[in-house]
Amino acid sequence: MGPIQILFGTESGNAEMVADDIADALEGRGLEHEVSAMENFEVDLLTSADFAIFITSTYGDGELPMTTAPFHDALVTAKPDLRSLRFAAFGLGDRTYDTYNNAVTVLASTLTELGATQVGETGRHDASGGESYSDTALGWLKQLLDDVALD
Amino acid sequence: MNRPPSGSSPTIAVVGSGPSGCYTAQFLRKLWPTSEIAVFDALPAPYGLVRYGVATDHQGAKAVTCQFDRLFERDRVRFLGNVRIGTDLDFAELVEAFDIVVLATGLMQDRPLGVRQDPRARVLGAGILLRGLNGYPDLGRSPELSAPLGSRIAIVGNGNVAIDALRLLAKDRSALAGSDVDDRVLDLLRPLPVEQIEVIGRSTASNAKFDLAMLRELGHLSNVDLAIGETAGDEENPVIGLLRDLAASRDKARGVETGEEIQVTFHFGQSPTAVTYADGRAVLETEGTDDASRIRRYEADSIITAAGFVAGDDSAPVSWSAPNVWRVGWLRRGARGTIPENRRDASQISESIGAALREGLLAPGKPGLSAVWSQIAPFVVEFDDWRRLDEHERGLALDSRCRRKVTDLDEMVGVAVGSGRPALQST
Ligand SMILES: Cc1cc2nc3c(=O)[nH]c(=O)nc-3n(C[C@H](O)[C@H](O)[C@H](O)COP(=O)(O)OP(=O)(O)OC[C@H]3O[C@@H](n4cnc5c(N)ncnc54)[C@H](O)[C@@H]3O)c2cc1C
Ligand SMILES: Cc1cc2nc3c(=O)[nH]c(=O)nc-3n(C[C@H](O)[C@H](O)[C@H](O)COP(=O)(O)O)c2cc1C
Repeated sequence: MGPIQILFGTESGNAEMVADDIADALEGRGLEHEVSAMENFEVDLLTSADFAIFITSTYGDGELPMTTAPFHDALVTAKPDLRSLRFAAFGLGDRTYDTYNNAVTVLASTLTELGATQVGETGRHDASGGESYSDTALGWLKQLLDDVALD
Repeated sequence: MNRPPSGSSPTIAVVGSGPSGCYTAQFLRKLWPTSEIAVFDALPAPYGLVRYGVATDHQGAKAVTCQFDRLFERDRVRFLGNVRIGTDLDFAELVEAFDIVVLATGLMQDRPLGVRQDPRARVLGAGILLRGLNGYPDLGRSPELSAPLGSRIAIVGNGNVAIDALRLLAKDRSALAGSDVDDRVLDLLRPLPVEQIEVIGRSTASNAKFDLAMLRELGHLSNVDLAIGETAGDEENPVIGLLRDLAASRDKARGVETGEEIQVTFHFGQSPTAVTYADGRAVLETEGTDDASRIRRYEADSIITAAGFVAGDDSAPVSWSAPNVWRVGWLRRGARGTIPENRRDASQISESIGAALREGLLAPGKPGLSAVWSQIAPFVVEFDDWRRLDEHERGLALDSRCRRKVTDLDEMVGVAVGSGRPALQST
């Protein structure tokens, strides 16, 4: 299997921090991985990737962050064939908004429409919930790795 | 000459630990993993307006500090609190000591309305109000925050800060559960529930600067009755549409009148012309932006101005400049934009700093913190010290609050450095 692609889209940097945490945890398990900002990632590269972890926050009124939106637009426009891609998704949001964690749902469903297979539950962090980003993300990752064979 | 190669690790001082200073430290750390990076702040507590501006009931937005904690805890960036550049340490010395100096001191002062104002009228800046409710050091004792605002309040402005002020004054104590509001200041300002709040903006509703999500949040407050007042003829737009929907859904949901509703009315397209005083009340006089002959008078016990921010005594003066000095964040761009915009700004500035070194415009070699350490050592509050204060504040929280800030500056420093401060050490 090729390296696990960790892709993040962020507005204020929290999703990047989560991506770093997830990378550290994969490192600890000896799993090969690469971290990229979605804005710097060519969507075509996903056609040859085996496994990807998508991390995005939600902004505005349930919208994709400025750094996730172009990536998502590129997916919708280029329609890469993602049938060989398995992916997991983690969202950052805030439950005080009616559109809690909308962006990760939008992104995951686009990926699924392009043929990719989502594994595990979508993880969600609630910024107003008081739990740290790392605790929520690493708890989610542990569950994911327990459920899915990634190596 | 034994000059380090250009682009090799420079020593870096960042002045101000608000979002723009912290993001800059973050980007520069990625650029130079081994550079000495020192972040100074005038206060013993870090994070600027994240701690003292962002509304106390928006803890989710404050959670961005997790990222910045990591800088100081893991990424070897030094926090040097309780050091005011210009007072405790000269700017010129900083420029001499560090290869790179980044000014990120923000803009603190409420912008005045800029109209004739009767001194008897109670007028309070939203920035001071929010700082006070956020437990800004020594502010709760200021005369501006020590008397009740009254039952009728006018808020001038239509950005997010105006809505923050409105929401915090409208929410009752229990609706502030989970916040770190300074209850003492809130009780002084609002001993009894407010009855009426008018929000008066110069922009028409189409151009109002607040986010729709901020309005929607008001719709969730069960004690708030929303209404639309003046519109200057601009009524077909998302803001008015949302306000209508919120007002209508509330009418439907309302059972018995409890008599404790706060009447909140939004007025758009109203340009302030004067603040006068009549019958013991402040009066905001306006003319319509579409029709200057349409004069209105809004009577209130107090007027809160949310007209933006300008440089105060705290800000870095324009004279603070040198070839190795950069500015970032609100100080550079003006008081516009949210936390993410400071991140983008910090990213750009960090790139120009990197380019300046790559192109050999600056040659690193200055000693950094060790050159100024003896001057600040007697009073500096470092990150571990702040952590002690942080823990202490969380421990002080009563009932449903997540934190009670220490608001006396000397006490903050005392708690932070503790009584058993180890002998001063050089770095
Ligand atoms: C009331 C209010 C509410 C807000 N709410 C939100 C929100 O919910 N979400 C959002 O995204 N944005 C919000 N903002 C905007 C956000 O706070 C700003 O975009 C951001 O804080 C600007 O960052 P900065 O680092 O430039 O300045 P600041 O955050 O002001 O930081 C400046 C720092 O410099 C220090 N300093 C000043 N002078 C000196 C000196 N001489 N020596 C040493 N240190 C010094 C100060 O102590 C301070 O810590 C709000 C702003 C206000 C005013
Ligand atoms: C202006 C603004 C709008 C937001 N809108 C939403 C939203 O609609 N839904 C949501 O779940 N979270 C929302 N959030 C919360 C963010 O997603 C949350 O703070 C997250 O941790 C940010 O992560 P980031 O730094 O990676 O962008 C919003 C935050 C801000 C400041």
